[in-house]
Amino acid sequence: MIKKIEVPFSELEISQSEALRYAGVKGEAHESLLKLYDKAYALLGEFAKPRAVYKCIDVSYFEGGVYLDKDKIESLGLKKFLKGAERCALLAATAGLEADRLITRYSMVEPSMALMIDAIAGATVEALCNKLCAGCFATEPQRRFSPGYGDFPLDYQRKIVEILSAPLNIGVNLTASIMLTPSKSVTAVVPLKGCN
Amino acid sequence: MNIREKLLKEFIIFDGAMGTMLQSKNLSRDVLPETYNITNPDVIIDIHREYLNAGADVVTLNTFGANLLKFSKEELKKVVDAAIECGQKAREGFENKYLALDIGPLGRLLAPFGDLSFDEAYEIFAETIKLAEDKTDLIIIETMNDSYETKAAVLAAKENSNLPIFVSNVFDENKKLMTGADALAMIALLEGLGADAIGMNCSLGPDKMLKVLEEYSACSSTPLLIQPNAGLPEVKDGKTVYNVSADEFAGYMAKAADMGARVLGGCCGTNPEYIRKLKEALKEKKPKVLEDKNLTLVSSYTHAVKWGEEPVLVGERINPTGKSRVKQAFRDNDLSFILSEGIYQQQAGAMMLDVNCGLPEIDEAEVLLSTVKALQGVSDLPLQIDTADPKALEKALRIYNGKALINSVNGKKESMDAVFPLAKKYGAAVVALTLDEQGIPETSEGRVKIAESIASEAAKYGIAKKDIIVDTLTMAISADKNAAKVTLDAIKGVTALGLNTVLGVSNVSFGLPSRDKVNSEFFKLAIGAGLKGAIMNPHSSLMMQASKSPDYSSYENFAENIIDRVMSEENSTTVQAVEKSDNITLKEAIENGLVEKSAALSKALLKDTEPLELVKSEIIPALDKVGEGLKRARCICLHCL
Repeated sequence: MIKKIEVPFSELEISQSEALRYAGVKGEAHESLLKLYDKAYALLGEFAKPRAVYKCIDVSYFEGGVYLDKDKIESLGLKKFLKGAERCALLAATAGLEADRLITRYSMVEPSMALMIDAIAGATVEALCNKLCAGCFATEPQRRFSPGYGDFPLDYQRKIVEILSAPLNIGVNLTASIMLTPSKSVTAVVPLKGCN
Repeated sequence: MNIREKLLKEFIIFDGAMGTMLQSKNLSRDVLPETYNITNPDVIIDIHREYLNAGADVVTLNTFGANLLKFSKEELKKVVDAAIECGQKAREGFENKYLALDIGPLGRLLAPFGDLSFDEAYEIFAETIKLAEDKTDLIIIETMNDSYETKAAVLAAKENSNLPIFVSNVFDENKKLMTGADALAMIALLEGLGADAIGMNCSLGPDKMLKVLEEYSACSSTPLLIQPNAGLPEVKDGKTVYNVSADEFAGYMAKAADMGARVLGGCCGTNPEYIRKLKEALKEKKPKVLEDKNLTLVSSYTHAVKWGEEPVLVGERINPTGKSRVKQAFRDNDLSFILSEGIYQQQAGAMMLDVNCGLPEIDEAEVLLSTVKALQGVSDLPLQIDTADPKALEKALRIYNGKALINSVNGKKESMDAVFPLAKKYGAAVVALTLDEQGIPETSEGRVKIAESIASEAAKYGIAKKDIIVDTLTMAISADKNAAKVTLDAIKGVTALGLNTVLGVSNVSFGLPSRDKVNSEFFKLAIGAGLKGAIMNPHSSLMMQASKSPDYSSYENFAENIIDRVMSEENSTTVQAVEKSDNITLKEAIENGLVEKSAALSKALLKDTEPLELVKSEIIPALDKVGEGLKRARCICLHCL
């Protein structure tokens, strides 16, 4: 069954250091950058709508890859990653379209703010995935594998979006070249031990 | 009875879910469900019949995903033809059952944040819609969670068929579409475009959907449609089931009917049992009487601005007239400067933005188009499209993501002939200037009369009074202190006609120093007289304050005081007469306002100079200089005006 989740921005544990790294900050951040971070964080907090949708499915294995439900995926990388798990979650998550709008808006009047919002929005999706991995799927954070990683075909992103009705459920769509819109969105496969 | 007639008289019962029904039929899941129209028509016909037997008036054809992104052109035709055939067969033996071509979302986000252009989306929808021709009774555009895509689909339906158009959007628990529009924004957009029924489906169960319906029923003047899910999905005994029973569902739908829904059906999780119960629940009911809410709305992709309450502030800064930096930006195609003008005005408190790209040396249609496209990517304020070029106007209106305000039409036949068809087609409101072939009437009665005749001409196009916002034209008071009194009196007269009003306030101070002060005092007075909106500079704090401070005192009071006051407060340079001198040129004489001297010099020069040469060499350069001085408020020149 498909499950939709909307997590308030304030409830996400967004890593400041990760966001600053995305923004290209090296070493200790200057005070002015931290101020910029706070402002960007507040703006994003006002507008961003982090949402996710997932579905738990069966996994089985063959020599050159895995079956996700009935879909045969030739990917040794995914096989190795799933480590024999019998169930996995297909996940799509996004910081929402408003993040893209804010980035575009500020790139016109305050490019440094746009850069910072962009970075924090990226970290927002990460935080959302981590929260789901830890909360809903009872697995450790960071354990997820996305289409396009290693030999996991990007084309499966199309399948995940379709299976999850991601356009309807969280507003995540594919482009003609199988990229995701809004830009701060991810799809992933997460291994599970038990899941309804 | 065709479906439009039925819509005005009775409830229309739609069917329930197709997907839920198909899932129970154990068909192959490796193909697109629309393919079953060809491979398993009996199954599709059976499903339609089950719904008809349960009491549905409308068969929603199995064409939800039938579009060129999923099928080739040839396949598409086959799939849609087969769907229509299934519908026709299903309704054999029934009377008064209608076939609805079903148009679902494309699954791609539109530009600028997605990669599908508005025009591409339009073409894809149009291709499917053309296939319905006269073989269906209506088109239902449904499960749309983006206002822009909805607009593309509605335009495609309007321009490629004459069928009634029902439009249904998906709202989330925050009562917004996924891309941000609230209920009022969708009402503005869709009523403007002339949809026959509007409303909502999918995503929510009936309880939460009624909250969205409440907003629709408060503000919509169009028949309302509701097709909720059977609650939320949950897993029971390994099966996915929905948590609202058919009986509960019917109970909610009876409430929906009381709130004003006329078109009722079900979405995910519903089946013929839900429709049977729904039909029963409406048995003793009559549709709520439709009333015109008479709202003047202009909208963006997130929200609508309502005219008629607090004054609507329309930012005037995106306009090259008299602004060299803006001119330069348009010439250099420097969109980022223009966009930041928009953003700054929004930050300053503008509620709408006027967009004017009128410069002789640029391709106005193209520049306006790209400016509107870009502007709606960075600002969610509704736009006022300001152009005198009908071609530019049409291009901009077409791709605008919302219900625009056109600036402007006037009482000249030529203007109305050009603007009203576009306003109607794209569902825009219009600013109407009270001038006509005879010019600007000097009396308020004259201006009110023009407003009246513009409104009655608009009515011929099906444009309601609520979509006309009258500009009674602010006149400069530097030449005649009482020039703007007529403007205010005309506001009162136009308001009495039931029309909204707007003014370009800053004209009042033309030729005066301290323009801001004059403008804001006049603005207060105009609000006191009933003004509903102003095209103004939101960066002026005096104007922003004035917008909240109506002044009900007399015009005379304002006119008597204002000119003397600004003149004494500002150390302005007035035209100084130069000493009488025999050496003065005609040019200098004009620049200095020496009327008699100018006349005498002209006469003398005409003895051995061609008149046109005199105009070119002396008079025009002099007037240019005076004009420049006026513009910069460096001089004031009452008699020239």
